Amino acid sequence: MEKFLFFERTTADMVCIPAHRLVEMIVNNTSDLITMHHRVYDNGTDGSDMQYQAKITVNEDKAKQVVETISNNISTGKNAFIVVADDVNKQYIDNNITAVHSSFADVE
Amino acid sequence: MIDTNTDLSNRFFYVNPSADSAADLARMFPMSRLIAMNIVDDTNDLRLAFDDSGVGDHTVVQILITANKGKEAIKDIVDAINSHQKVVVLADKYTGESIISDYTGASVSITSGSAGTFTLNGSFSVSGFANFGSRVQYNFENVDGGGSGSATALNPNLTISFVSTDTGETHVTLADGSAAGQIKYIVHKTRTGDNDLVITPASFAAGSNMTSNLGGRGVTLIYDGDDWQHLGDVGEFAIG
Repeated sequence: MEKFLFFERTTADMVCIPAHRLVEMIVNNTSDLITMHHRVYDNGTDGSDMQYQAKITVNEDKAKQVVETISNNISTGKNAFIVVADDVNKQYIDNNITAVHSSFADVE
Repeated sequence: MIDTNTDLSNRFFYVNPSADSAADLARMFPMSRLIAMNIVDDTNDLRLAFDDSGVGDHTVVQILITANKGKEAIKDIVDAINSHQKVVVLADKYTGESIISDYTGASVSITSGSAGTFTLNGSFSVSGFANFGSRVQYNFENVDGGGSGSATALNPNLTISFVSTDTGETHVTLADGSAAGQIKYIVHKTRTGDNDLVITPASFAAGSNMTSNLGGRGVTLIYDGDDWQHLGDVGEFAIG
């Protein structure tokens, strides 16, 4: 099964990336923001760094639980289409995710 | 660096952007080369990025879909990838066929990466030698000199400054470099009237300034970590 991570901030701002392109999930120093880096160029990094970001905000001190939920879904989940965060439909992979943090860069 | 998902390398996406032909301009992409799918501006503009064959960039397929159906369209593609189809038609403008249920049958386009170019946004070090097969060119600026009390500051981070002088536009300054070995070329590009160019580096080993009394001249400076050193004979530039 080829799994994909889906993020949607608005109907005009969403991205879906093969899960095998996930490089790391970084928790900030207040444990309320997770930055997911993917091996993908964005529109400003052609030929340079491949560090496409998807950021999600989470309830304070719940980031560890969220990254574990994401990891478990990638490793053992049954769905190929993994909705990590969907602000439009208020659908989140973990109840501790509160929102997509910021706009997505274009993939060009 | 390109990741390879070998499980999908023997299955393909077909895209045909031509409205007039069943095959002209069509392309096949191995599913393993799919990088990402996204919508960033318009709710009906679905973009799929694939590895580019030649450069560190993506080839982008744009497919017009029904507005506000991006999530559904992306889900259709994920489902197709996880099916057993060997060849999946992403969009065929000629036939209107697509595995995306919300494909409108309208615009489909393919844009290759920027062939032959490589952009590095950070710094770059070469421990071995560098061999350039073609020309080398540096970033530059074109500026006019300033007044003696309001000299134009040259940008030390641009390797070349082309300076023109005219009445009241004769003086430039140059701040210290950032690192030893940094090179700066200053060209007195045009001299209008009898207006000489006076260059005053913040730190200049040979004196306090240089003056050119003719257009079409240049001087090379190298920063040694403390001062700008002029390289060899400065030619017609007079050091003051």
